[in-house]
Amino acid sequence: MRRLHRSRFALLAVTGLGFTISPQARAQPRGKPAPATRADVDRLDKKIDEQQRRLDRLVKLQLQYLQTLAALSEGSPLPPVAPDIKPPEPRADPPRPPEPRPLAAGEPRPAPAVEPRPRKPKAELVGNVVGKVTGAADAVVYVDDIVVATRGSATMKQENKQFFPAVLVVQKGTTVQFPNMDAFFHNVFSVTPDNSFDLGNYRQGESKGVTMSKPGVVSVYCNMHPQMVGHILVVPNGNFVRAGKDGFFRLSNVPAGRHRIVAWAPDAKPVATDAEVSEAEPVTVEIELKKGRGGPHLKKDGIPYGSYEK
Amino acid sequence: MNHRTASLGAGLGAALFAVTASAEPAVPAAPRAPAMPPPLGADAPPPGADSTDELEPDTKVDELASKVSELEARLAAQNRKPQFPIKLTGYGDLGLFATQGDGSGFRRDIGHKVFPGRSGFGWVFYGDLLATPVNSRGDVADLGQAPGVDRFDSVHSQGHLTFLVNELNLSVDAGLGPSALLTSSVNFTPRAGGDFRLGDSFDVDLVQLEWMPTDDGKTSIFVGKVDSVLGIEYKGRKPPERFGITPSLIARYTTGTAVGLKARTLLAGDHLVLAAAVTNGSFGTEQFHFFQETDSNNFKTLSGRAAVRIPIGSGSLELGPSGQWGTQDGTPDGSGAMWFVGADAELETPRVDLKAQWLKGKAPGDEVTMTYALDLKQGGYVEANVIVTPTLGVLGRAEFRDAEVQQGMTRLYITKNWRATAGLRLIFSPHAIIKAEYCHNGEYGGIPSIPDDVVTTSAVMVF
Repeated sequence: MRRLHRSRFALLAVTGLGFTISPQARAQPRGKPAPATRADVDRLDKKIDEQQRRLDRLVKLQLQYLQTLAALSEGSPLPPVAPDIKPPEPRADPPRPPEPRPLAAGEPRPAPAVEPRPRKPKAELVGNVVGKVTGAADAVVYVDDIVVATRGSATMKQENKQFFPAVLVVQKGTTVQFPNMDAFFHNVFSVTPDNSFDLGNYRQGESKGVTMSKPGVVSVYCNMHPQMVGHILVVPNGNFVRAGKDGFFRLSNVPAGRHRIVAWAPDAKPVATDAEVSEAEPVTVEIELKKGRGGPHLKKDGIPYGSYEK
Repeated sequence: MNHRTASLGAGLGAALFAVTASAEPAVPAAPRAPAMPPPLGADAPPPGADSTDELEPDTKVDELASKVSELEARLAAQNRKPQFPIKLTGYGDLGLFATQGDGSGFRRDIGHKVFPGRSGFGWVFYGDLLATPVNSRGDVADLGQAPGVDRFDSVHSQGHLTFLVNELNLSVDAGLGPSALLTSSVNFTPRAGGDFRLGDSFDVDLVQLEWMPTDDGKTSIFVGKVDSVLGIEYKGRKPPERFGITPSLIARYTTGTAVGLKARTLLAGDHLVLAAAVTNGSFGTEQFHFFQETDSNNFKTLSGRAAVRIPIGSGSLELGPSGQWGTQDGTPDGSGAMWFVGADAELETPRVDLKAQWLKGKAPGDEVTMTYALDLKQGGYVEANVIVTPTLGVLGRAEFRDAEVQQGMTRLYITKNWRATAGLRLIFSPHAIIKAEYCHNGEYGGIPSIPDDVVTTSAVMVF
């Protein structure tokens, strides 16, 4: 009985302590001058729920991604996952989404609904894309939606007040060197967003390089010689090819699946189209480029060159 | 578990709940830890199980994030390219020079002994007032002792070894959009004063608005104090652009800037260059007799040049005629016309630049206003600029000038002068250039020799 009394007393004491402490806690909010209201609590709760839901979704997507990779790699060893490798594009299963339309390069694609691919050996999952580019010569065709960076190097010389080659195609991550072969100074620069750089003045025999970190067309100029115009097409992977003089091209060993195929030529805007690549037979695409008017460009500080420098 | 323990636990729990519940609004709530993903193959939700309701806010967030990125990119681009970008440049040009004799390039024909046939003139001089240039401006080492005139002899070295700040230049270029450019250039020239006067001066040598109305940017219309269209030497008149130091003997007629309108275009695939100007006066240099910035007559001066540009290997050849015609500067309406005709050629290769220019001209002068008359029988030069190494360049120039300048019957200057120039150029960087030149002046056609060779140097610091 005494034991029972003691334990009840203890319960009451602790409960009382709790209620004694709680007003203090309410009266001394840490660092908050104003007392929190019920609305604040509700708002915080809502935020927490929102965060929780995002985290749950992220975990779920990660899981789906891993599951997809596991499904893909069955039968073949799992390739090392490069940090910048995008998840594979979704296969278009019936019912198909709306018919593919030509996309302007850079136009955002809808987020993929990731789904495991059929379990087939990876080695068989390649196909070819063939087709023709019209509207502009010297076109380059590439697969846009697979990102595989490289650490290669390439060279664009400055010789006789010209860039040589005037058009260079490199894979993302490539370091492009710009050696000065002329007996006078050059100043190579680009104001292309995401790939802008200014190498400053340097003389014959010297070279400076830039790592092309973002896919896209990088226009390169000299701040001293307006006639010097170069283009570097930074492609996201090794699946690219130059179209022939007749415009025909063949892209080989393209991973099977739905891909975005992009064509570009100097002084023309890139044009993209979707293609369903399968190992069964080559898929044919036709892309029409529109050549723009290659007008004058500005100096690196945005000032026109002036006619006497032309 | 006995009652005591149970009661104690319940009491502690209630107390802690009370504490935390009451403290919760005041303490920032830590986000709840995400639930661990279920193992593969366990009760994981099927792929794509996200309901549309769940995706919507994220899609919205993604959209917003995308829009924010786009706006940030546009803002960054906007910041990179201000609407009216302005570029402030300039240079300082410091020289050291020495000359033979007293630094002047002419002598007085005392008693008409050299030219007895010109005894009708009050004073006859031979040689060239501008034969001893010491810098790219064409300032001469000394203007000598000429009777009957009060000239501002800004250097007045009297033949002594002299340091000279040739020019401090300040240039402002402003882009007024992708097709309009304002170019201005002001020279500050510290010079010798005297008689309680400062010799320092400044000279606005170029203020031009260039508008390129065509999409290809190959046609320009200029308004303001514009560059010359006569010949080719004006293109390299400033120390950072000029391969050597000193101007040629005919630069005084062709390398000035004049106030008016000018147009220039490249046609036929850049193979044809056309330029024309309507200005107050000539493209003579401001210090010389035959230039006036504003006009004393209503007839404007017309100038033009047509040139053909032919690619040759990795270089190009440009050649063509140019000319100028208009009422002479400084004379009233109804006076005679001053005119020049000339031809020029330039062969540019990666390492060697060959230039040649020839000029002839006349100006009637005016005895009422005592404006000088000119008979430029002919003058010209051939120049070679060779880039030996990226740092070292070598210059050679040969030239002559055959002219008579007279002021009524009071003064007559007879010039039959030739000059050979050799120079070196060292480019340490685009911001630091050092040049040195030796000019040997000679006379021909029966004119006595004048000791007036010049050795001059120039350190150009470009910013």
